[in-house]
Amino acid sequence: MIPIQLDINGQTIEMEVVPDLTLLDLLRAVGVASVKKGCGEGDCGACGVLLDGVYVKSCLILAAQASGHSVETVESLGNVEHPHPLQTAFVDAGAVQCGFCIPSMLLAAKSLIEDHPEPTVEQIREGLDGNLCRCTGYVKQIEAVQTAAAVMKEEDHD
Amino acid sequence: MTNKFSQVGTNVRKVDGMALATGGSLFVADLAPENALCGMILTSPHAHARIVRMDISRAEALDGVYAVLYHGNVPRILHTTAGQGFPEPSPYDTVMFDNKVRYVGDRVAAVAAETPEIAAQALSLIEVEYEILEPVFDPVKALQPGAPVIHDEPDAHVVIPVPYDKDRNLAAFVETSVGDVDGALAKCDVVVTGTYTTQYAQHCPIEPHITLCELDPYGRVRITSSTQVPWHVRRIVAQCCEIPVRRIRVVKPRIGGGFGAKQEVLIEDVCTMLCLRSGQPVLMEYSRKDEFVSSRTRHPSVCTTTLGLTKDGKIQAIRMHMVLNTGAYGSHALTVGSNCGSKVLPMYPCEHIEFKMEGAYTNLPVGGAYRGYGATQAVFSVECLIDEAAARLGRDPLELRVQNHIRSGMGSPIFKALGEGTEGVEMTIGSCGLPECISLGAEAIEWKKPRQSSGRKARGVGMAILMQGSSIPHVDMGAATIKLNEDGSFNLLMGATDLGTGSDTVLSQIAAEEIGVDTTMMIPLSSDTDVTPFDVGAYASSTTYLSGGAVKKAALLIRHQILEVAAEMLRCEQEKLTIEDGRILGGAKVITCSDVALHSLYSHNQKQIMASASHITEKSPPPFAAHFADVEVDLDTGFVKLLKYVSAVDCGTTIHPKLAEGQTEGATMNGISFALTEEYLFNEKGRMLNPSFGHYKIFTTADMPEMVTIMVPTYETTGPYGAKSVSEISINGALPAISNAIFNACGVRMMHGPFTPERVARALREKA
Amino acid sequence: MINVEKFIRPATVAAAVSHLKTPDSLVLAGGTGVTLSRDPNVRTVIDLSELKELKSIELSDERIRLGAMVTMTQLRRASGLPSALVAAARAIGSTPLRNVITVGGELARGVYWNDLPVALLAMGAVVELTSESGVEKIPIAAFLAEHPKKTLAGGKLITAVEIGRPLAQVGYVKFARTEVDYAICNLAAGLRVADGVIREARVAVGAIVPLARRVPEAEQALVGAAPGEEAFARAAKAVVEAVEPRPDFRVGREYQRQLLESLTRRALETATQSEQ
Repeated sequence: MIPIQLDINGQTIEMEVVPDLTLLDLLRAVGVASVKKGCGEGDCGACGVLLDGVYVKSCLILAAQASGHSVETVESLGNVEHPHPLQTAFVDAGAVQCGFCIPSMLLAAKSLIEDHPEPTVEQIREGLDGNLCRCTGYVKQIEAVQTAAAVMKEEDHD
Repeated sequence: MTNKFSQVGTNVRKVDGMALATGGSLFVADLAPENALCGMILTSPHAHARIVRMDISRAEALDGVYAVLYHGNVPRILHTTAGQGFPEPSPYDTVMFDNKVRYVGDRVAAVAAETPEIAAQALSLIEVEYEILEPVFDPVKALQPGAPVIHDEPDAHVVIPVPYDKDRNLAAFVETSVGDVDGALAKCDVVVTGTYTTQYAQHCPIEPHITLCELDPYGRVRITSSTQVPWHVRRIVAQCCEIPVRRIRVVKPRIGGGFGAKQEVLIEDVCTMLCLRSGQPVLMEYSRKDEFVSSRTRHPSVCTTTLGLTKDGKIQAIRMHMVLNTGAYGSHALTVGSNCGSKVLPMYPCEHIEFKMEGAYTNLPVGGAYRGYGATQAVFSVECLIDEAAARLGRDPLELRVQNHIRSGMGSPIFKALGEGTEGVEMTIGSCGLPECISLGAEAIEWKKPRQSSGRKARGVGMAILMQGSSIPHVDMGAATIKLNEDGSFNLLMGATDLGTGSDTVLSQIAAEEIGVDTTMMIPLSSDTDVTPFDVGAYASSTTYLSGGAVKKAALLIRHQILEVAAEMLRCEQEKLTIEDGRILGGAKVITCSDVALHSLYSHNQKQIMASASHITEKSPPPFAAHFADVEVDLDTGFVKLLKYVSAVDCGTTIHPKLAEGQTEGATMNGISFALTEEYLFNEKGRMLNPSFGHYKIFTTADMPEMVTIMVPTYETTGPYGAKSVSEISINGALPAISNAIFNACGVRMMHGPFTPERVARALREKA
Repeated sequence: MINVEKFIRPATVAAAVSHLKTPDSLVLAGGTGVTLSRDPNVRTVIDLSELKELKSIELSDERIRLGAMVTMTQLRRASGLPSALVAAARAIGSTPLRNVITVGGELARGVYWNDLPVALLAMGAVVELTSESGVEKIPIAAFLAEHPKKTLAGGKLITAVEIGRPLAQVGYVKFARTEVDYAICNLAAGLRVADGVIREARVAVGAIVPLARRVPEAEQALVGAAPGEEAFARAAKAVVEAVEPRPDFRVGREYQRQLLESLTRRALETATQSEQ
């Protein structure tokens, strides 16, 4: 067993884990439901998290590797009463169908807007290229990212 | 067009959208108790083999193992995994575990253990001795005399009177004809014919199949499952586990996509049996590899089609011979096969039509329901041949389609001839927005604009027109219950199964519109077999049209009940009153639905305002679509870059425009990805070589073309508020539209999907 | 990873290198290649994530220096890098993978589909290896002459990659079924042209061979010739003749040869259009 300590959405957890436990399995085991397992092989992108602010696939990160770092998931973005502009934009654009891939995609979107506050369609396509979605055809999601980016910029100015 | 409705036709917020976007615990995996055992299945490494000896004792003895299942300790109940109405049109050729395996990935045994690691170790301890049998992988060869017989067990059978000949690997057969095709073809000026094939492909819901089974203190099994067909799950699990339906409750939480893959009772029977044997909660989930190998697929097809036209461009005769590869089991073979004809042939009305379909067993993965359901496979040949004919006639392929396609008021003998295992229903087309779909789509793609090819890149444009259906008439039934609460809100209890499509929202809008309240006043609950009324499930493009009909009926009953109580409260005639935005107008004063609820629950003649209604349909009105593709072909590598794709769709009234567009875009993208990259690769022993998203490529944002979606409003009088279906149709267009665009770009005709660079390059070489 | 007993996160390269001698140790950079490893023999993981000294890109008049822990995303975003290097970085995986995949990892992995080594071969890059006995710099072609595992045996750590100036003109092309896919064929070409004559040429191929390598036969066909269709066709022919494609379940042999031919021409054309 390997002792680890990490910060998940602002809460520090300390525990001992088996060495091959992935960050994905750790997060699900401690009840972070938004992080989804769609393949466990680094392909589908449903398990994305922000690790020290960097968007990564949690199935390719060992829990032990994440020790000492901070993890942010969609739970920290907003909630039903107080959603993040990205969440509002995704829902209102019709970008959420089954929703399984969405929490991770929102984090990818957050990360890409941080890099490109006024993202072009090309930049959004590149920023979301790690997130498979079989429901939407991605059209509404690209629209939603642009909408959210505009709202976030506006809020920044306020 | 102005919207005369207050809820229908508006983009209300998707009822589950924010809960999903905030990462709520909504999916099966999120709902499993910590002590749930892990269920896991051992699958066959061989394509065709008899199990001559099995020993599970070492697995059973392993610490942490609670149950081991194999053919020696479970009942042999012939059934079909196809989640269809009873009696099912699919053959009863499956048992929970058999002493024979019929494809690589077939079930051999299952365990329930404390952890996934222990379960995997237990599976490795199961000893299986196989006698390898000769396999057959080609559906055409499988039907020939002398081919290995895949279902040589005596007890496989069909439960409805349809042809079935397992001794020659014939899982399904349909034949029908009208007129005299040979005679008509002899008189035609242009006859075009070709054999078009489609490949193995998977639905790829991002959430794989997953089921949680728990025993409650009453000894009942609660199955929480990612399914499109909760009621069929209940019935088929009862059948397979030999327990009464009353001992089973099926709950459908949020579903991470289905597309037909989850119209299959795939793991619920095994999971329930493990739960019953162990007495413990059991969670069973497919890995991505399982999803590819052991789940369900789109039936690959070999389709030979002939069109005959006179020189005026009129289509005189169509002949289609479809061979479907159903894999090791006949799930949906007959009905997918029938749909190859019924959802394609009526597009071009003519007097001489022949259709023959053979569904062949092979030792490959199992076919199933997949969005498009046969239309995808069959329309490929017909729509490519239209372009071939246009080239021969020197006509614009668009104009040739306009000259020949079906229109409002027309019928087709095929509607009556081909049903879903039984005879179909005679039908004339009501709403048909195809002319507008074609003209608006052509404008968006700039159909007439000459495309400049530059250097080693060739540009081209192609199109296809499509139809589907809306529900299975006289077969499928949906039901809904609505009840009024004190605050003027309504519980909307539906059998209809929202699998991520947004049907909870669409059906809430229909109920709200009919009652006269805002959609936010509806509290939808979809699919809990203990709580909501029945529905066949989410398939056959039926939810809006069929289940929507049930919801609308129930809502009308509720409206009447509210007005009845309101009239009593206001001491006026009921007929004078109307409901708008939750307020009852027309009386001496304005009261609200909440006032009515409080009155009816607490004041006088107390009763619960509630109503249930069921709905079946008389017809299956087709949605229509025109799809257009603009491509650039790399003449050096054969790579096809899709630059722009236009989907123009007539689905009647769009109850929720954004969700309807979303259905169209999702289906279109899946179709594009299927046409260009998706395929199973097998080795010579029938083992899939690419069972991962790493090597089975579905499109990402980086691959997508410019997408244009055009919703063409029509009004289907038989549908709720004029609606028809939307979910399936747009998956069918990419294969023919892109093939036609490639032909237009560089003169090669792609007849085998997917149009990979290697295939296109080969075709270019052969042409040169 | 099942039997790992220790995760070490050294703070300096020297400390990292000292741990390399630990039996059954494994170096962890971005992790995409090793976290899912089922290797039961690994007992110690040496996590390089704290080595800040390996995370920078340095541009000087003499060279471009990429720290081994520089990620593909860093390469993608940096300014002043040759376009072929940026193209190769962009060609790798998807955004969340590029965010963690490192220069060192791309070199150490030694799998057929690695994208970066092909571009670096055409650039004539040098790999810096650090061990307890010191620092050595070897040409990337020599580094890849054997499988990186062998090259790195004996306690060597990749600490940087350097590309000397003046830079050659380099073209890089990746061919795959989709944008996010393992390469079917990678090709890069580097040229130095003076007075209308190719003075130096490097042609490198990957994915279609088990390990990225240069194709001297094609390079010889180019040197001394004028850059253009004729010379490029000769080079392409030389590549087809010299390179034996590995069996690939995704594509057939004949098509692999076609790709070699057309991608060689394309890489050379891209090179002539690239910045000096």
